[in-house]
Amino acid sequence: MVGITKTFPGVVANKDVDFEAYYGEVHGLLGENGAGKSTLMNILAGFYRPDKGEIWVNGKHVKIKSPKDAIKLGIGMVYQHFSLVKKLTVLENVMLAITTNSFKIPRQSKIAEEIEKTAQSLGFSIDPYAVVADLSVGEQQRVEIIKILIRGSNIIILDEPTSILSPVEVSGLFEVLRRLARDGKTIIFITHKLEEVMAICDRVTVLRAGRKVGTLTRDEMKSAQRLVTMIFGSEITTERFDKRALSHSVREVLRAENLVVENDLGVNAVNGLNLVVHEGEILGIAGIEGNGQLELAEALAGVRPIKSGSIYFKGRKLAKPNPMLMYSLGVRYITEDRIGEGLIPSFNITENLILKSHRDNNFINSWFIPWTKGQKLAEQIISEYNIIARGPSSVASTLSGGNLQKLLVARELMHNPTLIIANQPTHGLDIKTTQYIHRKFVEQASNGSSILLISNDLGEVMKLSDRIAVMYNGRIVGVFDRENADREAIGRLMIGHGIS
Amino acid sequence: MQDREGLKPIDWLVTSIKPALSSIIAILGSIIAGSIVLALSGIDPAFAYYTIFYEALATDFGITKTLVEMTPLLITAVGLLVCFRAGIWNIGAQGQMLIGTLFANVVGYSLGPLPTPIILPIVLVAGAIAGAAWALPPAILKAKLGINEVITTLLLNFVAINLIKFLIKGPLRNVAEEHPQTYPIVKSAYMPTFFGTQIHVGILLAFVIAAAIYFLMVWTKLGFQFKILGESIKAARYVGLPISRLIILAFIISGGAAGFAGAIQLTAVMRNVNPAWAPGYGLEAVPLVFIAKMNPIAVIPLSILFAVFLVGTDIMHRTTGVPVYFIEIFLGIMLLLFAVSEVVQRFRVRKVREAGV
Ligand SMILES: Nc1ncnc2c1ncn2[C@@H]1O[C@H](COP(=O)(O)OP(=O)(O)OP(=O)(O)O)[C@@H](O)[C@H]1O
Ligand SMILES: [Mg+2]
Repeated sequence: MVGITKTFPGVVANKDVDFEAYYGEVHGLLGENGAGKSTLMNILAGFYRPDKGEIWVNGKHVKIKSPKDAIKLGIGMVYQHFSLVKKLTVLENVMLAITTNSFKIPRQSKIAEEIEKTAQSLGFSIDPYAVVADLSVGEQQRVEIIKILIRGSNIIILDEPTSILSPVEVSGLFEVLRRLARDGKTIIFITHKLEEVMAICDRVTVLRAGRKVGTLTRDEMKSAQRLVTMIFGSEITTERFDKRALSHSVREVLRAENLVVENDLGVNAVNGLNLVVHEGEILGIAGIEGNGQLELAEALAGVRPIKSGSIYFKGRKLAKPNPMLMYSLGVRYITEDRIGEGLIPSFNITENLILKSHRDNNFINSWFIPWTKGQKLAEQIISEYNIIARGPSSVASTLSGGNLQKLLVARELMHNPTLIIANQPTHGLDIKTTQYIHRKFVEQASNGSSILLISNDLGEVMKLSDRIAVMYNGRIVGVFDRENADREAIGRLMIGHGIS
Repeated sequence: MQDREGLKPIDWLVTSIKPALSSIIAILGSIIAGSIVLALSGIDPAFAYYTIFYEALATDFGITKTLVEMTPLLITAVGLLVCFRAGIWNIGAQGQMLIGTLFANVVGYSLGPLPTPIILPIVLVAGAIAGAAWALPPAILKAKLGINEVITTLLLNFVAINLIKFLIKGPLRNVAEEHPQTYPIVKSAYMPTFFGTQIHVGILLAFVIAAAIYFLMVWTKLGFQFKILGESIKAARYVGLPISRLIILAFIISGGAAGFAGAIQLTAVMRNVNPAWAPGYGLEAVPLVFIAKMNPIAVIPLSILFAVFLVGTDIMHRTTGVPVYFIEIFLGIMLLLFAVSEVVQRFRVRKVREAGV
């Protein structure tokens, strides 16, 4: 890609970017939130047309006018939000992907065979007849990759593929990527995590504010600090929070007793859970995704009904928790589902910011919405969290992934909450913003807010929490103080070892 | 952080036209397709369109008629807009209007000769209440049991049509008349007109209601909540909105609007109801709201445009013999073109969205 420029109304997303990736390499694409990574790759995949610039594939100058052209050229992209049809089987999804261009429908059994073969060559197995909705996110991601491979792609783009995976799944994915690179495919890998870059990338290209900063080879990127400087244009000091004073408060804010909560399939995902959150503490929940964390968070936020058991707030039993009640008690919920649940893509920043608080009589005490007040608030949040957007009336769907996340977190941290339930709060954020959010959490906690932190990233949990509770199979199977927290022991509990 | 340039005028133009693109395509396209239909039937399209616009807008008679036709369309449309924005597909406005009209009619002759400032509002409100009541069963079924409102509202249209036929021919029949029809409303319940023309107060009311709905959707918490619900039920749950209540309220507003529109037609134009009366407003308002892209301001010019075509073709039919169903073909093509260009656009937008994160 040579001299790629892409502007959106009012924003230059890419400016004169040269990008080059070889066959057989894993090429990292780095840059802070809103740097233009997704845009650049969407141009390569044919979703956007560049205003200026040329694309060369295999030494040939090509014009990519649509995703179809990109597919023909062997370019495939795995989005952060998969494009699989959940109700269909793996096989049907693959069929959908490969039959869009012809009227000839290939034989099912042949494709099924091909799926199994491809999976095998990548070192795992997959049932072509499994329904996608029943697969874990890691498996769904593999299906995406298989889909792209069967379509004949040689250039595979992955946009933040690891942010939704558990550590085990990440190493599985890396294994797959290495194999693909060994087979001569080009892998372009967008991420915010430097250790992942170090682990897998042969070269990296860094973008900043839409421009290319440079490309480093494996030897050149030895030090993470150098990458950080390239990404942000300045060094950032990594802060450590684990030395801060432990919260020893015994005043209880929230207590769950024998909590049972069903998931969407009617299975008890939270199954007899007991938990106490104290005032001013950060309580981390460690656990492998899918052990009931989502259902626990939703139940405590009042979004999901509880089947049995009870929830106490500051000692008072809540008869029937609902989102409005929890909100009025000062409970805020950072959902992991930022698009469609936490934020509405077609709403602008102001509208998304007052999504909840417009019902709060302390904030708006009339039937009418004072939009100018909302707009001022939006301006304040935009500058405080450094959200890259044209202004309060920018529509959410035009924000980059990380900037959407900032907006969601910012909204839930407003108005001094009592308890913040944070599910994957730094999902998709760059290092600097992640640190900013971490600092905010610690600040909130020292101001007396409690935080229930749920994260796939054990490192994040261990860094911030005063106490760490390990969740397994819908229950808390162990609680550690930060001082006694032992990674090994926690890891063992997370996979259910040593639980009677 | 980013090279951020101010919005250039051309950007502004593009961003402001883009949302209206499929509506513009639909309107222009249907005019073109309409000329082909006209040409095929041996009528000069230029003459036909000239006649339509001339008759509907350039004569006193035409412009009055256009405004009178616009009134029920506009009121029904803004009511539907609330529902559609909330993601509720009420297509029963026709039935809600019929029931509203009939009830207003009954109230309008059974109360006796009260002074206009008292009886007229009562009759109009009676229409609104009956229209809202007719919308209530599908509303409750959807809110409490999740039953699809498209089917229930559609079915209730047929029930309403047959119910009023039965009532007019039976219990509510004016026995003094040879053909089946109801008793007329009392004279004092007639909608006042301006300076002896047919321009009536209801036309003003239509604009007032449109303004009120605009205000509701843009400036109030309730309107904002309708929009949240319509955009994402998941987000509505997350926020903890009273979803059932919002659904029922949206139905009441749109059913009430349809009934109110019918009551205006009754008091201003018809004075009583006969079984042949089959107003298309409730059905025409559906594509109208879509083509207005559920924008409460765009609904106003579109209602006028629809009314122009309704009135223009009607007059043209009488003077030149162009078949009346030309208007139906015309509106059909418009909706079709709109749907196609929406799908094409949405498909592209969706792909971009998928890619966007
Ligand atoms: N459809 C769009 N309309 C307007 N602006 C857009 C659109 N898509 C992206 N942008 C803007 O372009 C810039 C680059 O966005 P992009 O999504 O490429 O960032 P990114 O590097 O992928 O960031 P992140 O790490 O947060 O995902 C952002 O400022 C974003 O707001
Ligand atoms: Mg991105």
